[in-house]
Amino acid sequence: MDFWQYIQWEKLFDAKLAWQSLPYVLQGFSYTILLSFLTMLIGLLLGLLAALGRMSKYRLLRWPARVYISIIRGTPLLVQLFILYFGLPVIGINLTPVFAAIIGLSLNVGGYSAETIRGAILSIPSGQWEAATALNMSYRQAMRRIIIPQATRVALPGLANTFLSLVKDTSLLSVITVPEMLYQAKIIGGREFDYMTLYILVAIIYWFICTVLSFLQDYLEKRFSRHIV
Amino acid sequence: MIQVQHLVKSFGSLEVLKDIHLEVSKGQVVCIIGPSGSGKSTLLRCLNLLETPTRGKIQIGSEMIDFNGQKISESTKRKLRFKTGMVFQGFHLFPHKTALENVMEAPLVVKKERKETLKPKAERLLEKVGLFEKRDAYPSQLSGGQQQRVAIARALAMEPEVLLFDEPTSALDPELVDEVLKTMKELAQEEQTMLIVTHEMSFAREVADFVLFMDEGRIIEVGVPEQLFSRPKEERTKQFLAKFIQK
Repeated sequence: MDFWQYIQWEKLFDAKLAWQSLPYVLQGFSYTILLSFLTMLIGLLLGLLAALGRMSKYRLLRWPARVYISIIRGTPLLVQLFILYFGLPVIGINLTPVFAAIIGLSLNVGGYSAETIRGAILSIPSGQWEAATALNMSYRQAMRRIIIPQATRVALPGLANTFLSLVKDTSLLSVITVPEMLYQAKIIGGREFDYMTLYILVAIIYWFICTVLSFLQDYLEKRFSRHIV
Repeated sequence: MIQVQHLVKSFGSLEVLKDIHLEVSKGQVVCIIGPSGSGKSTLLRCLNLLETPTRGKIQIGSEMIDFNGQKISESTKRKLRFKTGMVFQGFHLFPHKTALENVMEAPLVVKKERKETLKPKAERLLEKVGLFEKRDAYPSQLSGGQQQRVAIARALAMEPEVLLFDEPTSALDPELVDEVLKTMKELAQEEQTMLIVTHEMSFAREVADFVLFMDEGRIIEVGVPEQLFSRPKEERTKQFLAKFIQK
């Protein structure tokens, strides 16, 4: 009784089917990439605001930021997406899949990057604040000109992690019918009775894009640490 | 130029400055000496409001603030702070900016000066501290002494009426101390009003118009250097100076 004899290796990857499906899968890929970059951008903005809110001396800003970060980090992204897409219509709010995706992913990135950004800002030595204050810069000016440019370097590895997770998490959007890469692969796989080839194909593409992005991270990290010892 | 009356600063129940009086005229150089924890740095930091005094009055130039427990608005604080420039023990240059950019930053952002007029001015300041040729260097490419001189130029760029130095040479390697002291002496000759917290006794002796000895949050003794160093009146001053000479 040999377990291995039942495995049909020849069905593992149908290169011809993969090649034929590639244009459709890449169509989905354009959603994956566009949504990733767009929601990363909005998410970073939300994250910065939440980080500043969480560090504020005003309780009225601190608490909403805390609650927001806690909810985002404490609930699964898939549940958040379900609430936005399947839940909200119940109370009369109908979002298109792509719109629900943009809101869901942006909020998610915001919650996670907030903590990375907060940590980075806190890591800047207090002497930098004091020097800026002694030169009569306001909180805003010091933040914008002195602290954030330095904190960016510190935050980069963490934010890069968030971004890589985000790129892969866009695959969750397939369940709310956004025609991204995994969604396309699922449709073609079902039609051709060959899920294996299609899923391996998208796995390769995810891996490829994430590798490219981590090179981008290396480049940015070098650029930002040029003058820092 | 500077008038401090009944200045008190407490952190919680700990009184760090106790009823400080101080008067400095324009162009005077005042050195503040004393053991660590005596409140020297806190006094400087109160003068430019990095710390908010608990009670008392501070007047610098035309600006006066009376601290009496009421909240002081940010804009009031900034008016007084405009009169001062600060040089820190740890330099605190902005590491992501060149020497020239460090000097230009505050006038550019705070005073909204135009870059074209500001640049030659900033270059002159770097020249003054002997670092014109290093204008495009980043802090990480400069020695400690050079960084501190850039920091002095940066403070001067805001055209303060008083320069405050918080142990400006304490973080430096011994061979780099002199270049910073030389720059400070030159400023003294130009009649720049300066308050200097320092452990460099021979420098204080040479440059100061008068010296303050502080201990446990009080000014124990004030005098011209010659008198204070050679014939201190107070017992505590004698003890402190004796320790220093032993070193």
